[in-house]
Amino acid sequence: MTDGSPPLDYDDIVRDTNSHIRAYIAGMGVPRHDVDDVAQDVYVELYRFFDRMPAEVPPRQWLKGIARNLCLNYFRRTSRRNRLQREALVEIFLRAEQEGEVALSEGPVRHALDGCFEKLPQQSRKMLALKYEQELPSATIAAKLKSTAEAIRVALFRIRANLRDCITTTLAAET
Amino acid sequence: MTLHEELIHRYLDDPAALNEAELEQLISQLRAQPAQAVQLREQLILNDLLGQKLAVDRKNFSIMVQQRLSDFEQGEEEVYNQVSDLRAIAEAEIEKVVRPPGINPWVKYAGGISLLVAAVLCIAVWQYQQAAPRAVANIEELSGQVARLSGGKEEALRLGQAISTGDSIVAAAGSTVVWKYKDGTTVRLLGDSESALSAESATQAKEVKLSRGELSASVAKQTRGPMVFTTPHATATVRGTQLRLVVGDANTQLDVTEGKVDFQRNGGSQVLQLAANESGIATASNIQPREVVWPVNRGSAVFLFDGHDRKQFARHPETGVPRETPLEPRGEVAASKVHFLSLRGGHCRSEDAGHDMLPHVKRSCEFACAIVFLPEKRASSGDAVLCAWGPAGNENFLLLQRGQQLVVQCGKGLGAKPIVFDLGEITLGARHDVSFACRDGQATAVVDGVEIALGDQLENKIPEWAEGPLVVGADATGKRVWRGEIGALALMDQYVDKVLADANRRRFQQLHP
Repeated sequence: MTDGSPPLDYDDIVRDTNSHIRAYIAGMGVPRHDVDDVAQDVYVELYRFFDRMPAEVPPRQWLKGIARNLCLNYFRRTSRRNRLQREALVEIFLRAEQEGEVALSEGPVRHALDGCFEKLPQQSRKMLALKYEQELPSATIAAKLKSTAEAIRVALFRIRANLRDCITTTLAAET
Repeated sequence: MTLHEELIHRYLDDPAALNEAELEQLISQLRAQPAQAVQLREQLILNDLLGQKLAVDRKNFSIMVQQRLSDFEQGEEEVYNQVSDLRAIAEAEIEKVVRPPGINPWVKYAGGISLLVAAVLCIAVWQYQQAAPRAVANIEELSGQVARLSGGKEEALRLGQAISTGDSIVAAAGSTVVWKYKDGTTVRLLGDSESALSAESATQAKEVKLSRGELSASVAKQTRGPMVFTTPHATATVRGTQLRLVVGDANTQLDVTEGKVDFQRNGGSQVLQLAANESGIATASNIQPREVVWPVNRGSAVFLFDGHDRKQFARHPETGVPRETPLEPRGEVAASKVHFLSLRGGHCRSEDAGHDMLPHVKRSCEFACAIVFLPEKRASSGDAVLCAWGPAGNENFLLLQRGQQLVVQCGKGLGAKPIVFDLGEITLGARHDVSFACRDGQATAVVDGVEIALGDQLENKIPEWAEGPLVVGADATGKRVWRGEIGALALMDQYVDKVLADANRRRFQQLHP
């Protein structure tokens, strides 16, 4: 498959790319609880046709191509009532990918996220834990924190925006 | 907060929560303001990255992929059907048992017993399905006579045919069969061989039993557990590698080309961990590493020269045991600095080797020549013979250099014009590794790792081959002298395909970097 370069190892590719590919799938509007299922399908496809991966194409780019197709399949399969809207959103997000922050798609984001997460105030980390670790709906988090669901959604939006800025700054500094 | 922002926040909270009208509104909004689409996408990505970091059930993704691959290999449909059947049986039995109170106690006992029987049946069905034959591979290459023994029936194997666990594959002398598993693992059975396919009962990991003969395998990374090769003398346990196994009456030889293999004698506790380019040999009472030698299929060599400082051997025509058979120098022959034989106008000759080789090659009806050589930087104008075997003018085999062209001639018997194969151009002054092989209907050459198809409609004339000397560096009359250095020469009574030729080339490079 390669010409002179060392052969690619399937496990290494899974380890090195899964974080990006899962986030990439989520970035096309696949609900959180289905992201890993679609991502697993992506790696099964890679496994089945490993020998067809061109040597000159980086594995992540190849996997993104597979992921795009599987996401469209996912929406065709699952969105009977609003399939056209879901597909339109995928198109919008694919266009947004071209215009968005490159570092978020390419760099070692998970490592940067770990550092940025540690810098967050205690209250923000608590809210993220309720949302992502305990996977509570916004209304339940609001009840626990004596707030409203809308306010929680806005607060989470701001925390994520801060994290995004922190990650891009960190990655820019590293490069 | 605007209505638009609220829509985006709700979408981020749960992309499936918006109804059709709300989605339409969101789409119009994002189309009108592409910057918002970029921001929303980045929020979705952060959303997921935080989930990956914090959600417990998302932390072992690589393990989940391995499990998914395992299911894929087994065949999801098969698993689904098995589970559905078992569930249906169990549900039917549960429905029978759950009845209104006040029922006759004997009926209750009977219900309990039937539930127990159903459970036993479920286990039996599951075990049966595990043990039942399962198509695991397809026939990728086939030549010669190869049969499949399945359920007591014997049938000729066909190209593309699926083969299953429980099948035995029996190949006659001179045959080759290659089967390929779904994960890309290939097994190549060579010559007079017998093997059987199976799978480990619990994990369904691949197993191949080689009762006799020779196989080489290229094993993809295994997810269900190591692939196991068993022979009457030993077991080779493989996770992902290239290997070759040769089973004789008294021993099993293992050559590892790539990766690592655990090699264990049957009934013994010692495990030899063999890495790439290492070999081991197991008998009924012993297992030990084996000296790394060229060629890899050394046992098939009917004549062998592997360095001017080593003895030359030819196999005894009756016993098959290698015995010292020196090439006798004629004229200017010397040793080079790198153990090569340097021919500067002279040549080497052996009447005995030519005599001893013939019965072996005629018996197998297969012939191969592997040679490593370095021609002089200036080529002679006429033909120069690197290697000749057979009577003068009616050689069985002739490898010659014509300018920069390399040519093979195979004899068709007395008075008949030989078959000529053009192996292409070589570089003067550079080392070359050439393998040529022929058998019924087939000839192939591999020059410096590049396979040259020579046709598959050949008439096998090996039975017509005649006795004559083996000459290196000239023809049988001592003319058409070749100048250069010979690093190694093996003449074999076994067809050498591309896989084996490559293994030999790598082995020579390992020994003579």
